[in-house]
Amino acid sequence: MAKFFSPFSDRFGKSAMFRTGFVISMAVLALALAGYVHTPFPPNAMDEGAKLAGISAGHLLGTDHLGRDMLSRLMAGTGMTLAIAFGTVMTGMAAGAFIGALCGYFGGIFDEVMMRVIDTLFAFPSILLALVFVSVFGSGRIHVMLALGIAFIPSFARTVRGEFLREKNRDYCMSARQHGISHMRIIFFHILPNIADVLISSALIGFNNAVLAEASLSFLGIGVQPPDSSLGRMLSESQQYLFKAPQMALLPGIVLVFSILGFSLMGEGVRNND
Amino acid sequence: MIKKLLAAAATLAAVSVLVFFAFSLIPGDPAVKKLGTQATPEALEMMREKLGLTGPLPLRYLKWVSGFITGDPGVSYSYDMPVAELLGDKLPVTMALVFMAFVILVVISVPLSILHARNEGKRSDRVLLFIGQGIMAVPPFFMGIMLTWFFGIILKVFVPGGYVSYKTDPAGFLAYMFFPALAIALPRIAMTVKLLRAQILKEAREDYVRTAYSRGNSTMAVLYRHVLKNAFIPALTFLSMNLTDMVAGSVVIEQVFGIPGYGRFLLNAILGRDYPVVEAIVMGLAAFILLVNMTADILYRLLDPRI
Amino acid sequence: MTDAPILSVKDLMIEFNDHTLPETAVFDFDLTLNAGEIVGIVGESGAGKSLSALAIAGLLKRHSMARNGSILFEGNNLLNCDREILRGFQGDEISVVFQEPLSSLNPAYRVGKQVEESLRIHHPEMSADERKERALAALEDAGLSDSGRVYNSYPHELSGGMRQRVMIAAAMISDPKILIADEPTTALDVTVQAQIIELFKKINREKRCAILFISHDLSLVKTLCHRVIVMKDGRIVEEGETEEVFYNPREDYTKQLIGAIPRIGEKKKSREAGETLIRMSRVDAGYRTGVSKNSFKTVLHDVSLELKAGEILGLAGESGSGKSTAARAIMGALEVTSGEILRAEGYEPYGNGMRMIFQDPYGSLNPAHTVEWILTEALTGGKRRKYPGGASAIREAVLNALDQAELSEELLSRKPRELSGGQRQRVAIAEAIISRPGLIIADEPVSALDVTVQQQIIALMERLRDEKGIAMLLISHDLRVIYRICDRVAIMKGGRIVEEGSVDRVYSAPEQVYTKELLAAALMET
Repeated sequence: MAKFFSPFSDRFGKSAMFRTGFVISMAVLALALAGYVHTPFPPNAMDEGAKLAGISAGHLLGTDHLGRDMLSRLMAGTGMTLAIAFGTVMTGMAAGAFIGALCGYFGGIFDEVMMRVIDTLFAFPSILLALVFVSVFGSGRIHVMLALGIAFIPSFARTVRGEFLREKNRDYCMSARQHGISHMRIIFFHILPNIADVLISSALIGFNNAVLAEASLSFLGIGVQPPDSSLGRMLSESQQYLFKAPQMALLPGIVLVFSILGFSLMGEGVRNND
Repeated sequence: MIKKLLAAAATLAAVSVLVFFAFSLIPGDPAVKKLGTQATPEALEMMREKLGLTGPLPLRYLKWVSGFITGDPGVSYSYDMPVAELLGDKLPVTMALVFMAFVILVVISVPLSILHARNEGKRSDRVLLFIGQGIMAVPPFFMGIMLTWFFGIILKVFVPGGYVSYKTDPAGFLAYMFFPALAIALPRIAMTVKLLRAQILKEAREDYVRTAYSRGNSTMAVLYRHVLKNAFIPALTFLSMNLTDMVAGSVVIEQVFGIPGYGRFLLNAILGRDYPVVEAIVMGLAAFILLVNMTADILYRLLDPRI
Repeated sequence: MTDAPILSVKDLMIEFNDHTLPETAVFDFDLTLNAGEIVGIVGESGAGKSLSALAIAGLLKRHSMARNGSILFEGNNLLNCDREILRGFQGDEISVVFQEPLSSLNPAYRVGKQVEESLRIHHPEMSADERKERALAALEDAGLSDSGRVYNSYPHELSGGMRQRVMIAAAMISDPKILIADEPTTALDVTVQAQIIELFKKINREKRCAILFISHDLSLVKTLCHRVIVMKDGRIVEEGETEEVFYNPREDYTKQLIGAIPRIGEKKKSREAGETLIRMSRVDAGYRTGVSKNSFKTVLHDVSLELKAGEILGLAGESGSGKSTAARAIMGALEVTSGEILRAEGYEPYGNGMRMIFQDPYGSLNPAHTVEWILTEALTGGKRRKYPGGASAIREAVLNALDQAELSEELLSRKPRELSGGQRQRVAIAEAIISRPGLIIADEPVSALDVTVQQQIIALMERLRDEKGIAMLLISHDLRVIYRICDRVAIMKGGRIVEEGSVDRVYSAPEQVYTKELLAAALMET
């Protein structure tokens, strides 16, 4: 594992884009992690006396329409959004990379059939797939994670398959075969390290899309269910109060933009590093 | 070409099987949901009959598919009305929105990407790249909220939530649709410009560009006569993907701006477990996506002599 | 033959600005080109020959810049004159032909439009019909008799040789005074190469067009050029009349370059061949291109070959002749539909007796791993825990293989991208011999390398045969390399073996017409 990530410092660190993205992502991550440990108020606790309150010593970022502390909700909501995005990418990448690796490396009928299915799914925008899956599974955070994870499989599978298809035809793979090295060892020890860049960059970009997708679903009211907080939910709740309390929309929105921006800059940095 | 058509038809058939059986196998009885748990078994049985939930699955599937082909994809559970009728006045709204967004996308991104690529490495290029990266990170629905806040509440250019039907006031309808369309288009413009710029610059490094210069072409002539055609052909696929993505994205935007398109209808159907509606919309979208992809494919073949 | 100078380049200096520190790529380049003269610039990769030629054509890319000096043409200094004046010359008075004809032609337009382009730019008064007429004539002059069809074709529909003729037609349509040809035959097969060289001779003779010919191939330069400039590391090493430079070189580097061309005609010592390792008799073989039943493609027809211990067999032929496919059949990667392949023990597919070396040493070494990892993997077959003797035995075997390939121990921790081309190919050889095979199949092992490095790798392979008795199958399009190292040779064409015999016999008395053509084209003894 250490070996896998060692190129991180010397190769990726150089890119200014990657560095900027890294700083932004770390800030967002810190907000979320701090939220797991401690929030100023319980995120769902309502303060009847202070609805839609502005910035004050008690409520650093004010309160929402139910008198809940904005900062606390923001911390918890960021944590929820990032956690769901993380789960989504892990599910999508694990399954997608596995399918893509086998299809790309072995080819044949399995590949043909699998790719037909994957291509068809890929033609659907992932948010739409997630909508359909949610309507089958039902809403709620675990279901959303699962629905999005499945919706993300096609793009990972396609990317990884393409890489394996290209790599397996390169001479070093043919060379490895002649030394009697097993297929599984070639897949995991010979080819995989060579596509690490691509995997990292598509994981980062996938993470972005996952943040966006979770926020959209929760915004639409079929993702995270009340009273739980998530960036999408907060935005959805803010809409009616846009006139009276624009900060209710702007705060979660800005955090959302920064989380997407941070990871997309990191992804770009990795990809442009040739 | 015929092979492609057959493949598309096969895909559509596969999707229909998947969709139908997935929704038929979801636990829960729509009849119970409709009549409540207190209903008598006879009443439930009658309701099932009425909703077309009796008989063997494959037979129901065939009935559903033939209905779909003849333009009658079933009856909504919640409204007791034919789905086709319900969708009839919602589809044009979404279509107008997506079409408008697509026009904005193409009209802005094509010239901008050319300008952007021409200035590669200069300050304006870097500033645009930076702005683009920022805009790309704004989710369309947050873009919508910000546009509403800025143009609707602060500048009062339009009335938030003041949707006008295309039937009563076509001009007002189009005017109201501008900001939603912009909200959908903006992040995608950033993406498209970035991709087209990269595509132009990639082509500009090809050997044939050097050949073109060696014949005495000016930089502009090389760009417009040699590079652009090669750069835009692969972008077709990307544009067609944008179109399908925008249809999906409009679900969210309609929610932000209170537009009664197919998106809200779909959402309510999902929340209300109104499966005939969900099935019909999913199938319609699948057909639309396949059609868009096919069109892009045909255009690609016409334009690229190598295929 | 030659007269007044039409182009004179003085003290040209070219800098790369790609990285943070500017790096000088060409120093003090001088050149005088007389009307009707052919001047060759030779050198290995990185010598700066192409850069100098591109600078003359005004085509340096954005990251390289001419810093100093002058390029005088028709009273203008092309380095600092107005862009409009330079453009007026480009394609009209000075034309260029590039190395890769496919990528140098715009894929989206028909050939005719591209051939006419110079006329459209420089003679806008000309009518479309007139232009087409000129284009057809130019295509015919370039040896494309079917000019009407070619005119309406897209580049991808033509063969490599035809595309290069199209490029030449496009360059010559405006009757330029100077034609710059940058490695114009490198991407082509030898027989086509010979035809293109003839075409250049004809152009020079009939149109009195001066040609600046850039090539890494000394024998081509020798047959074509009146004068030669030898370059190394951005500097001119030697310059003079072709005959003089080739038969009486003054500089050591020139001698080394010329010495690196394997000579044909020296008598070869004959060796005793041992037992048969692999015998292919009348083999038809091919592979599947898809999943359906009729997707089988037969690529080898009636091929018989015998590989014997301690012998080097050369497999020669042009691209697409089936050489590499034959090697893959021997490796066992192909489906045999008729005939049979008999193998001694250990020489079955993926057996320990044989190993393959590939053309591009960068592609054949795993870029993600170190030399040590690569060699260990090859030695143990990926099962390093089960290797008898453990880590110390592995280390010893790796060092031994490295030593055999004449590489130093400090390379062990490097990754392929940190090695030079020659070092990479040595690592590939070490990887092949580490498990002590009796047979090495080498697919174009030196074609990606510069001539002086080529020479060293060939010497290494010879030594391995002499000292270890390793048999080899050497696949090469280069008949000189084959002559230098092989005992026997088989010539292939269209998936069949055309002629086979001892190298001495085939080279001195070829029996088949195709062999004669190939030899004549390759050795340029016309």
